[in-house]
Amino acid sequence: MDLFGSFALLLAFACAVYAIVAGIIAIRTRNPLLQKSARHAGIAVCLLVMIGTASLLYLFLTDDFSVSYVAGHSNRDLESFFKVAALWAGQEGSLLFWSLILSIYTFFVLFTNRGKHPELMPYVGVILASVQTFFLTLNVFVVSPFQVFGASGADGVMRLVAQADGRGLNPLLQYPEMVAHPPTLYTGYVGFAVPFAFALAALLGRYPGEKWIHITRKWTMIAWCFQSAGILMGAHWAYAVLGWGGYWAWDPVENASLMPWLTGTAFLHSVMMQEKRGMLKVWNVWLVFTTFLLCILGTFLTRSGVVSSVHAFAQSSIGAWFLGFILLTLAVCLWAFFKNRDYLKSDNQLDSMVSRESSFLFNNLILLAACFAVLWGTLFPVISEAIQGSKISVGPPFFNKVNIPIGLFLLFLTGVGPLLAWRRTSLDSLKRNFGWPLAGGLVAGAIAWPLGFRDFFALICLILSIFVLLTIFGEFLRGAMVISARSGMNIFSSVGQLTMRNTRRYGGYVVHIGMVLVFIGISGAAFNQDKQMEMGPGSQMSLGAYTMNLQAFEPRPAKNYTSERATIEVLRNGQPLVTLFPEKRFFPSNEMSGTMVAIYSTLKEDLYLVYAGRSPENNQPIIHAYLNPLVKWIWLGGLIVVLGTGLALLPNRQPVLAFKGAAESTQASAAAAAPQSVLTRSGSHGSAD
Amino acid sequence: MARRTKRAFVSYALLLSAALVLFVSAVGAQIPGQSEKAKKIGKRLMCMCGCNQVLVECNHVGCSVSTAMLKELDARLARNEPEDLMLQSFVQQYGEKVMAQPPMKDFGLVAWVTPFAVLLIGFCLIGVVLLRWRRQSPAIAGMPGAGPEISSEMLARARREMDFEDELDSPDSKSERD
Repeated sequence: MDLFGSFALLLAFACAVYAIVAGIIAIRTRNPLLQKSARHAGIAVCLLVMIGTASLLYLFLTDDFSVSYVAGHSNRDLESFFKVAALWAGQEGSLLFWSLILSIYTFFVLFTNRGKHPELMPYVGVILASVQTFFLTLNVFVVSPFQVFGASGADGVMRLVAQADGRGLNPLLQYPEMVAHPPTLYTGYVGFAVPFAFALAALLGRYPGEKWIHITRKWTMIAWCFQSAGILMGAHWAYAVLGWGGYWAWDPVENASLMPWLTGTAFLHSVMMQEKRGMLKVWNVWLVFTTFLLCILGTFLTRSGVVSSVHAFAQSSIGAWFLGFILLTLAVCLWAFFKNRDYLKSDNQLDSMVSRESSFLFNNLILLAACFAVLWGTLFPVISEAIQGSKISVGPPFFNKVNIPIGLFLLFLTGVGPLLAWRRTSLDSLKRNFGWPLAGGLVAGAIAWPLGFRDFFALICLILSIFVLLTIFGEFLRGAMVISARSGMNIFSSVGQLTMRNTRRYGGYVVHIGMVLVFIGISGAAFNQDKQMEMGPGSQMSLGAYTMNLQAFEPRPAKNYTSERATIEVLRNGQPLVTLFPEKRFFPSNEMSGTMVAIYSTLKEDLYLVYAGRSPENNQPIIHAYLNPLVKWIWLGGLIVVLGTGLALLPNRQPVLAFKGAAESTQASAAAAAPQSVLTRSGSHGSAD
Repeated sequence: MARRTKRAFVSYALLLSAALVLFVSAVGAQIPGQSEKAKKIGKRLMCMCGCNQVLVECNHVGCSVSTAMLKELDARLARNEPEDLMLQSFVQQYGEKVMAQPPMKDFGLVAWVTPFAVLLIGFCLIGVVLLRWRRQSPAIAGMPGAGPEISSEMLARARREMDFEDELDSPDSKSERD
């Protein structure tokens, strides 16, 4: 099966190379048959990579320990569920997984656009095939997941040597969330290759019109949604598994996932400037390029050993490949830009300094400044070592101090932006629109202060969160009232109608609500408490309103590990509440330990118990208890962000009359010449935001 | 209509108030008292096990390095050593990288200043760009659209549509857009 898998990947590599060569010739000769052939080759790559991945999965499920990668990341006692997750547990498998996701994206892009955009799609196919070729080069020639153990016999012939058992999967990865987190995050990372391909294709082919930007925006939203979900799943995994009471540690790998998310977010906002006003074309193209390059840069940082990280793969020669790919991609982007920059000529005109346009510029600046701060902090230890010879650490305190003010300003803009009109906003309008929300925020702050809410940044976060929520609810309410007055529907049905009339706009608002909840949840960290204690059976520990009684402490054998589990009765204000079971596991196959945190979670706070091991002095179990306020709001906010993005991707339910009328009366040309304000409200892509 | 608006506003206000009470009750009651000195100092140091985490937040299960470092910290606290001296001794032992954040002096200052300098430069650039765009902008209000004319019936439909959309938007946006 390893040979079969290797051959499938080799064939996929050949098909990807063919898709590039045939695609380029087809673009030059405008040969439709060759274009079709190149597209089919691109689709064939998907099938072949799927076969390669299925082969590796089969090797895992059948415990074929003659394959080095299987032996290194699985063992006989590992549950089948986790054998699937072992596929992406190491460098070779995760790179194959990248190829698989990219090939699936490529398949959907080529298949759904077959017969459409004949001037654009051949370029897109070639660019996606080029990216795929890079990953398949790694899969086939550099870090193949199908390498086998061999030993030469007495006759000098190499023979396969199967290991008796594998080393097992890293205990930190043996959690259900770890089965979902990497695929989700990878789907986000790899998904940014699609907007990159469309942007570069439009630039290279000087594709007329703005259609490409609509396609790019939708694919960016899909990738962004997966990236958001992947980041939050990772945060939840870190919270529920690592046992340190937090969810975000500013680790280089976490930072690597955040950077393209920030630039992708910037693009999703600034793209509206191009759609509505024909502005920022150069900026948007470079945002897409930068987002893709940051995805690759993140992979480079964590696989090259340049920065140290708990998540990082061992230092290997693969970093040089990624660096080469980044430089090559950047060179191609620069070449395409300088060759065709006149194609990106924008209608950069501004009617007023106080307008939606200027708010988007500031929004982009803040997002990019946050991205730069994260990149700077991640790379500063390397820079300091290179310049002064000694490494300066940049830990969470730095990232928090720099990014919290930037984040709060972004939160402020989240409230301000939607209330500013395109083109110009008058002072009266500002007063009317901001008065109540701002007053609401300040009142909330005034109530919170005497109640003991005294952390400066958390208080500002609360005021801004209420401000943003009120502005968004105001937007929903205002529109729903109009619909309700005209149709007689109740207010809730009207909100539904309103949302479905313009899914992009109101889906965006839902995403903003989700982000506000995430901010609120994060602000709770300012009030975390924790306590650690050696506890024998019958002993008690108190934290906040909770009292923990250690009732029992027992070993629990399991198939793949042994564990020690504490049984802790939790009382709140003296009343029995729940029994929690924090656990520590030991995995003999790789001689590593892992924790099973026990969490009692409410909207108000999480009681988070960790069994931190035994005291070396008296062998008593050590229990570390944390009281983390508002953490659940982060996960709830994340869910709302994903739902909002899904909503924004839906087509508008109700076609707009003016556009429909134009189509019916076949006056498309007349409609095209209509004043911009009419047309921008009429597109089926719902650009009325 | 007015009554319905009031009712809706009251619903929203109640909902938000409930959320606010929940929020404040969650955090307001939990202001930490006197923070433990060891924890405070431990937050200024990195664990040297390679986890890249703050000493008191090392996420390695059973990390022997953080345990030893915390013990040393406790011992120094028991001897009533001044905080600066304690930190200095850790720097001597492990190097400058033991500090959780760059120092606010020498080359470390570059780490702090650069992100805000970039932000400031960005603000200035945006200011310049906005002014340039403002100057480029012709008086477009009321400019007739180029190209073929559209029928009066079509225009009337478009106007009706716009009126409705404007009503859905902020109340004053209509005048701004016209």
